[in-house]
Amino acid sequence: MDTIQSGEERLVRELRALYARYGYRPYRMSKFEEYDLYANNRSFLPEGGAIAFTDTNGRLMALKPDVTLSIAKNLAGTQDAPARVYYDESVYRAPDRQLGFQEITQAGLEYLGEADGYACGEVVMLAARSLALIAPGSVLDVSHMGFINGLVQAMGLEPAARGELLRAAASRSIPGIRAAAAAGGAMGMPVERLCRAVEIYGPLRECLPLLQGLSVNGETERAVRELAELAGTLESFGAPEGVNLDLSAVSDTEYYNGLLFKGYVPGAPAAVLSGGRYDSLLRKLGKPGGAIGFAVYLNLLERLWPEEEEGYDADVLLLYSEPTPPRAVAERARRITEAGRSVLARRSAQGARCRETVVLDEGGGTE
Amino acid sequence: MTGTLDIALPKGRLGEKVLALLSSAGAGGPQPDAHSRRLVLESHDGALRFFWVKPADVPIYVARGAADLGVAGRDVLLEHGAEVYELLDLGLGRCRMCVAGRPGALSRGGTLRVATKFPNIATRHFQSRGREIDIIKLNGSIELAPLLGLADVIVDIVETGTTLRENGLAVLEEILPVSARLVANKASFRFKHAQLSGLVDRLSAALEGAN
Repeated sequence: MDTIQSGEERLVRELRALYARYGYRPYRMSKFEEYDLYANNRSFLPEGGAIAFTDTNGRLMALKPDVTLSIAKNLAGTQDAPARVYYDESVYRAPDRQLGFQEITQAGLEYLGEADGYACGEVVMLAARSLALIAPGSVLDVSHMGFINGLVQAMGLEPAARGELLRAAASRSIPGIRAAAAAGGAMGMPVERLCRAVEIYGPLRECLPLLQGLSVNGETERAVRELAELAGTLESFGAPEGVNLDLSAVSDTEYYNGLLFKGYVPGAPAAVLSGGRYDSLLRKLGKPGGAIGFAVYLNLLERLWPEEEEGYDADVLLLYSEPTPPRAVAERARRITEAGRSVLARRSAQGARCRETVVLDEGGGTE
Repeated sequence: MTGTLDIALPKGRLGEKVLALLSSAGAGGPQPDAHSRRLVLESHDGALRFFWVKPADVPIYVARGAADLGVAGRDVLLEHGAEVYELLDLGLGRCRMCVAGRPGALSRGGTLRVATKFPNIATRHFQSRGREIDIIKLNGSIELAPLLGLADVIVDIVETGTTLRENGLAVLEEILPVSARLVANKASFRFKHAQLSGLVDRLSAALEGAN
């Protein structure tokens, strides 16, 4: 079985089994959604637009540019019965305008309902284990938008400068943060606090005291508490090593409002997993409760797996000629496959790559 | 994960200055000869490997993981919006990104014709001022455009301003200061963190010592 599965197929099978062990159910969705869903929630979408078309009934539709938005719209979790789903789907968007639209394959999970400390810990643990299934030595970096928002709030920054400030923070650019803050009328200690926060990088548990030292208000306190709770939950899960704190993982969309995380594996030049808490999206859709989830970008993993073996098309090339009775060819093909070998039945050996050749004569016997 | 740090350097004077800076920082042992014609050079202790690439390509090599680190001007980073970490301002190649033209060129009404090698930076700048523009993308001799009536103004790097002055042009607005930045690939930042941080610390110390 393994020999005919690609690396991606094997990974998806293992991810499904992992998520199912924690009560997540498979979720299938349509490839299309009404375009209005994306148009009305543009600020929650990653960059890249959507492929829109008019359906046969005149409705403007779009090929899904994002999975989470569809799940958040179509599913509802409650405090007593949270929804836990996993998926592997393709989405269509243009993250790089020069390259045009791309099919992006992703697998992931979503938790909708009361996203308490346990639920958040479970999702982050599953993200870390998903990375471990992809490659040993992976790293999951966690951040908290509440902490960043609290620090930015304490700066008294002009709202127009926020986007540039977050972009600078995301690129760990200390001169960039200072310049964006100055352009927004902020300077001094509040700005330096953000610079120091962005420079912190290391194991989550070890970095928490540093973060506590930079906390300035209720929002940052809450974020530190949630991160400490997360560290404890992950330890109880026996989550793999390699969970780090990295506050440069920020989101300048409205998508994530709390915990946020990104995953890296050796050999891939960019994050292959991205996720976080998105209660504000549920609120925008008029739904109660919280939500947290993540996606693994399968298309970024292609080059991590060894190329499929270029060797043989089948174990046995079964050569027959026109007069050979079909039932004799079928009989021999059946015997070969029942012996656990693969067979390629053809009238010519041209271009066939097989370990062994069996030639049938006109009567169906071997020559 | 350990191993050699791969560094993409911009061809030309800036790259040579960076090699000299690395030498003064004592990073990776004695550095290779900057004038060698080899495309890939290695420091004598094998800790660092350098590639010479076109300055505008540095962020691409780094973002896509072909290099762990690179040195690129802030102008190039902002123009291409590369997904890299900007770890250090090396303070080399200091200049300014400016709007330049004949005095008074900005006050003309209607759509402003802007010649530039940096269409993204120019577009963002004029958008933030609510000014309608027509971008004319050129690859060199930008100062010629307003002289021949191809453009009303240019957006370009200005070092001393001598070329502008000699051609009757002046800086009309400063967009941003530019200098060379040490940039890192986001995955390398994690998987080669100790080596990378060590190099950044040495370079910071060398820069502080020089100032």
